[in-house]
Amino acid sequence: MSVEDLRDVLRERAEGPAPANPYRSEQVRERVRRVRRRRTVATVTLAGAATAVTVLASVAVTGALQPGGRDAASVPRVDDGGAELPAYYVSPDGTAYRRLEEATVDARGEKTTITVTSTGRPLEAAVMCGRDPFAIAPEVLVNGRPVESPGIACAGPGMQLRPLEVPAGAGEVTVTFDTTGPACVRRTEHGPCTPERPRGGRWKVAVYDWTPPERPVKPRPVTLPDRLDGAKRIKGFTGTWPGDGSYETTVTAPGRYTIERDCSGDLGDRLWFKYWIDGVESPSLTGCGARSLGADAFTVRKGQKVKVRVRVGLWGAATNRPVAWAVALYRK
Amino acid sequence: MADRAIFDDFVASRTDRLLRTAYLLTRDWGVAEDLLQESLAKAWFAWPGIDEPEAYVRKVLVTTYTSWWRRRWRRELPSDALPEQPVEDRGDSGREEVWRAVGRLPARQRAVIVLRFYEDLPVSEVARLLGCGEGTVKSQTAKALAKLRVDESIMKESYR
Repeated sequence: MSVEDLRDVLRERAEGPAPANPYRSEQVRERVRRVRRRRTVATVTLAGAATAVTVLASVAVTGALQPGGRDAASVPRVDDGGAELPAYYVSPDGTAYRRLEEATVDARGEKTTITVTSTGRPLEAAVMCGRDPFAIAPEVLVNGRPVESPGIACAGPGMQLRPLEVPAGAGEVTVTFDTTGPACVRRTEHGPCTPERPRGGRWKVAVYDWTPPERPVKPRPVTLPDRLDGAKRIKGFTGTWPGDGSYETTVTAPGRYTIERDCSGDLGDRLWFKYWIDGVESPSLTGCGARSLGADAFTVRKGQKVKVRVRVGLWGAATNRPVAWAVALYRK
Repeated sequence: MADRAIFDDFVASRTDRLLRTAYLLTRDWGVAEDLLQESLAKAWFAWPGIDEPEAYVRKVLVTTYTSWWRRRWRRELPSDALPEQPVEDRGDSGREEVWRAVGRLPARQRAVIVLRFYEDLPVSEVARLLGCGEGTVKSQTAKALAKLRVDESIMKESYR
């Protein structure tokens, strides 16, 4: 073989059809913003005292994350429902999100379907929430089936994302945003759930995919306090998902127990917990952000030995985006 | 010196060729795009002081690639174990074998081959890009060509 043959091989390979990327400029600018944020936070962290660092770093990050159309850096935070879903953004853990398609859906009852070609990357549905904390966001379906993760619940203005479960090998994926279903609103913690009156306006919805960070992003460690609501922490465990996925313990001291949990990491609110108390499985999965429900509480009587088993999982994909979690048993 | 106002124009109009170079280095279009964007982002910060943007980005691209390889982020594990049989030109299958053999070269040798025989850069320019001496470029070229079983009688051509 000659050098000319080698040249030919390289040319043949390099000058084949390359995937077009009309978004390269946007994506490069997004990388630039990420680097700037890292530098800003690092500088502040090195410079100040501990308290000042906390305040300034959060200002630096928050400031960088403010929206402003396509120049908005990361997680969009908006003051009203008129904000746009960004074409690109980077979450605080450095994950790059890209909007594939967007649409609107009438809040008074409509189904809007977005069809996207599966890129092999994780897909997520997005809804731009407005100021109304009682507004019922559209239900999300993938290929006609409701998503497994909890529905989108607006608690204030800003973008809400939910992972989409895409069948393996799916070429095209249809994502439906549905506002036609029955819905009710509980306006106080223990109040009745009353039918929601249709409100005007249209929801802005979209489908995003994301590219995992190059390396796992270490989440902030989480710990639960020694005392909580008058109860004393008896036992506990801290771990990082996906490495740690379960915990088992046995309690014998008589009293009323509750199980508490906490999570950190960008996907912390997607971690779910399931309990087995004395072999009885809890009826549903509990999200990390939810407060303990009745099913997470139990009583140990004198002379009784109760085994508690906790299993942890996560809704959606989480490549290189681990979640730190803690669980603890409190006794009153 | 480059004006940041023309950065977007540069990205839009001048980066396709660099993407192809990145592909030859990484052998994967997705990783190549990642490598290119990483290099462009690095270049952005130095942009006002850059005289020759394309040459500068190419240099960043090559050094970023070799640093990725060192850190093994990409899980690319080139092997020193090369086939014992010389690569012969047997039409398409022979070209395929050459391409596979290029992929087995260590990162720095692969970079030398791509810069010398795809970008057609002279030894002095390759040395400048890689931050090494011309003698190193020549020796790396010779080693790479030997592994690729390129006809040694023609190798002298590569030392111009």
